[in-house]
Amino acid sequence: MAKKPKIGVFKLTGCAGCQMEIFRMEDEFLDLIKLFDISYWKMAKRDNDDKDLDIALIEGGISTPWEIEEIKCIRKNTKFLVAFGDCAIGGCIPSIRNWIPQMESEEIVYPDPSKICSTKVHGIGEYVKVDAELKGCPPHRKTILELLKSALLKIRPRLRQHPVCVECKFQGNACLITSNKLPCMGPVISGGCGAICPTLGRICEGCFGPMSNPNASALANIFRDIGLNDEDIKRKFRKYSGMSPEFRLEAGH
Amino acid sequence: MTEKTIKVDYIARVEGQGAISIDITKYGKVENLQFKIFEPPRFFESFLVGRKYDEVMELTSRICGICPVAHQITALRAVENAMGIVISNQTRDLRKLMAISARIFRVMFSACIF
Ligand code: SF4
Ligand code: SF4
Ligand code: SF4
Repeated sequence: MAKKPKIGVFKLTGCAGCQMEIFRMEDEFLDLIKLFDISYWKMAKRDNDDKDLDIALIEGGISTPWEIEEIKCIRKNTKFLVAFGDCAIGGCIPSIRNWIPQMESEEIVYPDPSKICSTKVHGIGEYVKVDAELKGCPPHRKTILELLKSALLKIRPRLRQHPVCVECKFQGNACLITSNKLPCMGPVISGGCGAICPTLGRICEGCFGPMSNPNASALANIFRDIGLNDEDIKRKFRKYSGMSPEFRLEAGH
Repeated sequence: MTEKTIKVDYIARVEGQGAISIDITKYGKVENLQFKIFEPPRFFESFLVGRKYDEVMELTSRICGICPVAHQITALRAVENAMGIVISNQTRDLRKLMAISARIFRVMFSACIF
C-alpha cells in the first residue's frame, strides 16, 4: 500500500470544539486511524511530529505573537493547510472583542494585565496561504469526512456553497422570516449543518459563516423591516464572522 | 535535594495547552510544583458586555468544546438570577439530565482516548 498521508491537528486560539468533532466521527474514527498517519495531535497523543505533513488541520485563530510564528512554521512543514472551523477562518466568537479597545478588554478580565500578551484575533489566512476552509463552529463531521476522503483520492472536495435556506427547504420548514418575522441569518449563511436550528424552530444565528457571495445588505434591510435597529443588526453580523469581508460592512467596520 | 522530576510538556486534558512540572526529593516530598496554562486568553467577560441576554448561553458554550453544557447551564442560571426568573421543576430536571449525560460523555471520552 502507498504511504499513509501524514496528518497534523493543531490548536491555536479556539475552544477545542472543532477537534472534538473529529472524535465524534464515531463510525469512521477507527478507519481514519488506519488510513492516515496521525503524526501530530496534542489533544490525542503523546509523541508528536510536525515535520513534512501532508495535511494540517488548524483549529483556532491567531491572537498572540507566538501563534504567528507557529502558523508560519506549520505552513512551511505542510503541503495542504486547512483552516478548520470559524476560529481559524476569521476568529469566530472571540473576534467580537476586536471592536473593544484591547486594554479595556484586558482590564475587565485580569487584575494585572501587564502579564497578558494578546492582540486582536484574526483568521490564519491573515498570515499564511490557506488551501481549504472548513466552515462551521464546529464544522459538521460529514464535511470533515468529505475533505479527508478527497485527500485520499486526490480529488477536489465538494464543500457546500449554498445557504442554510436550501437545507431548510429540504426539511420542509415554514420560513421563520416570512411566517414569524424572526431575524434568521439563514439566507447569507453557508449550508452544511442541515438547517438544524430552523428545523427546531430557532433562527439560524450564523455559526457556519458566510455562504459564497451573500447579499448581506439586503438581509440587513429585511431585518430593519421586521423591527431590528442598527445596533441589533450589527450584533448579529458581529458574532461568528464579523471579520469576514462578506459581513464587514454590516458588522460595522 | 530533588531526586526525581516529573515533567509533562502538554496536558491532553486541557487540550494540550497546559504543562506541569513536579520536583520530588528522595523522601517523597514535593519540593517544587509548577502548573502552567498557556492557552491564549479569549476575553469572554469583556465581549459579553453589551450582548443580549438570550445570546449569553450560545456564546459561552464556545468557552470549551469539551464541556460546553456546563458553560451553557451556568450562563442560563446567571441570567435567570439576574432577572429573577424561577424555572419549573421539569426544566431543572431536564438540565440535570443534560448535565449528567455531558459528564458521562466527557468521562468516556477521556477514558477512551487518553
Ligand atoms: S470554530 Fe467554534 S467549535 Fe471551533 S474552536 Fe472556534 S469556537 Fe470552538
Ligand atoms: S427559516 Fe431561515 S433558514 Fe429557513 S428558509 Fe427562512 S430564512 Fe432561510
Ligand atoms: S446557527 Fe445556522 S449554521 Fe449554525 S447550526 Fe444553526 S442553522 Fe446551522
